[in-house]
This record gives sequence, C-alpha cells and structure tokens, in this order.
Amino acid sequence: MTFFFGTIILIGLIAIGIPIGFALGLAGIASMFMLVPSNMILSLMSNVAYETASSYIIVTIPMFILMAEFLSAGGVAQDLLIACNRLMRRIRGGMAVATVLAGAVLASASGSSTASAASMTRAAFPVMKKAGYSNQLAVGTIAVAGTLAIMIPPSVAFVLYGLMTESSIGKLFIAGIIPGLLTALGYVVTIYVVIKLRPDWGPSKVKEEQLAATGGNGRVWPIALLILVVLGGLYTGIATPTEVGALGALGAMLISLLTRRMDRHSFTMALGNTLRTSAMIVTIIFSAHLFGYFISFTRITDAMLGWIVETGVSPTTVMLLVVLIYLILGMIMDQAAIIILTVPITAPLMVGLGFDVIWWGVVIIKTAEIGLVSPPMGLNVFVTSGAARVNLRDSFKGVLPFLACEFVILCLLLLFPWLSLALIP
Amino acid sequence: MIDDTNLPHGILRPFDRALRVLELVAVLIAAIFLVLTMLLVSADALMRYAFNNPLIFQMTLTEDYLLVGLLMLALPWGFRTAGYIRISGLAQALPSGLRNILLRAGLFVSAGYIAVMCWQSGEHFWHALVTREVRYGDIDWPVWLSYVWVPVGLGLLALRLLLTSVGPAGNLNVEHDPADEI
Repeated sequence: MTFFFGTIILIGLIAIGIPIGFALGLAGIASMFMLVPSNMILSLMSNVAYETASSYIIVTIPMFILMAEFLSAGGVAQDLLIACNRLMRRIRGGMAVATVLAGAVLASASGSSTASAASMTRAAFPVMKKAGYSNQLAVGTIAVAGTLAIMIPPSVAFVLYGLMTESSIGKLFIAGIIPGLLTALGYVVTIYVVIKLRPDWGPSKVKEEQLAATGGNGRVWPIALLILVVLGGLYTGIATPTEVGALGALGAMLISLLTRRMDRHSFTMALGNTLRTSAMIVTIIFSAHLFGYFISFTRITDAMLGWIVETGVSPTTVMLLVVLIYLILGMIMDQAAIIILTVPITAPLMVGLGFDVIWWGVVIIKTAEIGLVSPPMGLNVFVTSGAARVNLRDSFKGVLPFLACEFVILCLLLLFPWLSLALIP
Repeated sequence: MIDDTNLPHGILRPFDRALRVLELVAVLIAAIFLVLTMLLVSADALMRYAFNNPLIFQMTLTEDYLLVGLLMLALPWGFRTAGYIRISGLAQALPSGLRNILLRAGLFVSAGYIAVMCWQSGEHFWHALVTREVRYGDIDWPVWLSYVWVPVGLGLLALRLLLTSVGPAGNLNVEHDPADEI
C-alpha cells in the first residue's frame, strides 16, 4: 500500500511538470515518513549527494559525454561519412548505408545518442538531400544511425544501468557489441527494402556515385586511432571504463584541435553541454537513491516475486509484460529517466525470476534505443528533424520502416540471450 | 532555448543578478575541474601502463575533490539553462493559470528539499572544518575541502529554485532544445 502511495506522489509530481530529479527525491522522502523515523531520513539525506558525486565510476559519465561533445565539435562525423560514402558508392542507397556505417563507427567512440544524431545530421543531411533522397528516408536514416551510440559501447546508458544494478560496466559494454552490430546490419537491410519498395525515396545510382567521387577523402585515421584506444582498452581489460573515458575525451579533444575544427566557442559549448548533462544526471541519480531507499523499505520486489509464485504466472510471461511496459514508456518518456526510475524495481525482479542481469541490461537498452525514435516523443527524431528543418510528421514516417526492423531485432535478443552474452569471458 | 528577457522584476532583479554571477563563477570552476579530471585520469593511465609509475594521488584527488566539485558546482547553472528532464505534455493539458500555480508550488517544495540537503551536508562540512579532519594516506587530505562543494552547489541550486518559483511565469516552462547543441 505504501509503495502505491509513493508511486502516486511521484506520478503526480511528474505530471505537473516537476523535473524528474526533484520529483524522485520529494516522493521518496514523503513516502519514507510513513515507514521510518524522521532522523533516519535526515541522515540519509545528509550524505546521499556527496556519496553519489564522489563515486569513482561516476567519472565515466562526464568523460563519455565530453568525448561525444568534442567529436561533435570537431566535425568527425563528416570525415567518417565521406570515407564510408566512397566505400558504398557503387550500390543503390549507398549514401544512406554509409550514414548507418558512419553512425556505427561514431558510436564506437561516442557515448551519447543525442550528440551522435546531432553530428550526423550536420554531416549527412545536406549531402543526402543533394543526392536526391526524400526528407523521410534522410531524416529516418540519420535518426536511427544516431541511436546506435546507446547500444554500441561505450554507452552512457549502460553506465547508468551498471550504476543502478551494481553490475560490471565492462561486461555490459561487451554485451552490447553483437546487438549493436546486428542493429546496424538490420538498418542496412531496411534501407535496401525501402528503396526497393519506394524508389522515389532514394536517388539514382549514377547521381550518388558522382557525388561520392567528388566528395574528397575523409580523414579517418584520427577516429580509427581513437576507436582503437577506446575499444582496445575496454576489451583487452588494459584500462578501466573510467580511464578509457578520460583517454577518449582527451583523444577527441586533440583530434578536434589538431584538425583546427574546434574553436574557443565550440570548446566552451562542449564543456557547457557536458556539465549541464552531467549535473542533470547526478541530480536524478542521488534523488533516485532516495526513492530507492523507499522501495527497499517497502520490500516490494519480494512481494512481487511472492505474488508471481503464488499466481503461477511463468517468468517468461512476466518478462514479456515488463518489456511491453518499457516499449510503452519509451514512447512518452526520456530514456535516461526510464532507466533510473524503473531499473531498481525490474532488475532485481528479473534476477529473482532467473534471468541474467547483463542480458536484461541489453534488453532494456534495446527498448530505450527503440524509444529514441518512437512517436510521439522520440528524442533523436526531434533532434534530427529540428536540425534538418524537416517537419515531424515526415520524420516519423521515415523512421517507421526502421522501427519494424528494431522490433525484429528485439525479438531475436529475447529469443537468443547468447547474442548478448557470447562475447563475455 | 533560454530566454534572458524573462528576468525578475523589482526586488528580485538584483537578487537574480547576484545569483547569476555566483552560478557563472561556480560553473567556471566546474569546467576547470572537468578538464583537470580528464587530464589527470589520462595521465595516471598513461603513466601506469607506459612507465609502470602511476600518479598515487590521482584517485583520491579525482574522486573526492574534482568530481564532487565539477558535479555539484554545475547544478545551479545547469538548472537555470534548463538542464533537466521533465514531462511537460500532461501539464500542458491544464489551464495555464493552474499549471503555473502547481509548478510554482512544486518548485518551491523542491527548493525546500534541496535546502534541507544543503543544510545537512553543510553540517558535515562544518564538522570536518572545525575538527581539522584529514584522510590519511600517502598524502593527508583535508576532508572539509572535499565536502565544501556539496553545500555550495546545493545552496545555490536551492536559491535558484526558490527564485524560479516566485519569478516570472516565462521562466517556469523553459525547455532545453537538444538541437541548440549543434
């Protein structure tokens, strides 16, 4: 009963437009008054902000965001796109495929989907329009290519999940590789099918080939080196995720400075955007801890597990229901907020039902990836359509074929957990 | 997009100006800490793997001082520049007068929530300062210098929330447009 009281307060505060970071804390504290003495609540409040902000693993959040911001400021996406475009110039829809490939490569060095989508729009949209792509296919491709950054490591979303579940961030990163590559492959197949079914959405092969030939050579060695440092450090275990984040941010800064694409203004913007996002995330995390204490006091996870055992509902049915809830939430809520709000409840529940915590992390991140391009709140579609000045209706129309592909891949991940777990030592 | 034309009027205006200056100073220090963190963690990793000679002070300095500072000092500026996640779709369905009253009340209570945390963390800081508490290790680190950023950041954030809750209605519904980041 107390759990529902707390949840209603939380929903009420969120519904009137209070930032989620404060709503979580307020709801947690108000509800805890029904369960524990006030001096205990004050004691929890006295240290929660400090404890959250002084956790070494938290360093990964500003570092991965900073890396993405520096890469965005340095116009690295443009170089990648030119190089991928030359590779793909002989196939129809080559430029769209090149955008997906560039998105996948950029994702290997960037932890933020929004920053990735923003960079990709700036680099890809004008060229795709020039080649003759429709607004729908151009914006749809760029928006989904940006989402790859949430799944392909390093990913800030995996860091958040790891923090909330106290599971290995390194293992989560490794678990994201195959699903990320599978998703990129799915996008390529989708582009092929869309151009087959709607030839008017894509340009002629000749025009694309001509444009690719005159586009010059993209400098890919700096980003290749950076990816080598990031992925090499992560997968060989030489460096911790925190060190990889810092080295990656430093490398991205040097690339952007040495290629003379980052001026003082864009440098300041990159720092400002990083601080703004990091401050927002840390507010949500320390408030989520307060709400998490309340959830622990209610022992709701134990109650739910007991109820599931009593009713005889199979764990798979429960898991599928929870996935469905995530997909619905993804349509209307921010993905970081969903992860922080729900994981403290769903992860212990799934582990209690016998599912792997790392696999569940991949499934949740996949639903978040889908949420980034799902109408009506898909953030990446908003970013891309806003930057490309294309109306939202056309943008979401262009994303629909990719959404169908996303659901197929989600089903594969649910059916075959080894796709996520195979690379983990 | 932040609209600086929504400045408070009357008695609140100088208060807002002073707060903006403090927020900018705080975020400037946070930016310096951010760059220092990047350089320090990178240098430690390179020194460890290339020369087997890590920076022994790096972890404590980063975790207990720079990280706390960069996150806490960025809070008030982050909030003023709409660095938050909220769901505005449901509230938009309400009449604007009622919506603003509810939002003001919610932000006022949020200011109280953050102010209590500021007070509580301030007591930790004060205790560490007057007892000259240190964290022993290869270097003896003063604990108050680690705690100080929490009450400062939370205090400024509480004041910003309070000012927003009683300030012009235009500041209540500010949204940060991710496309601005381009």
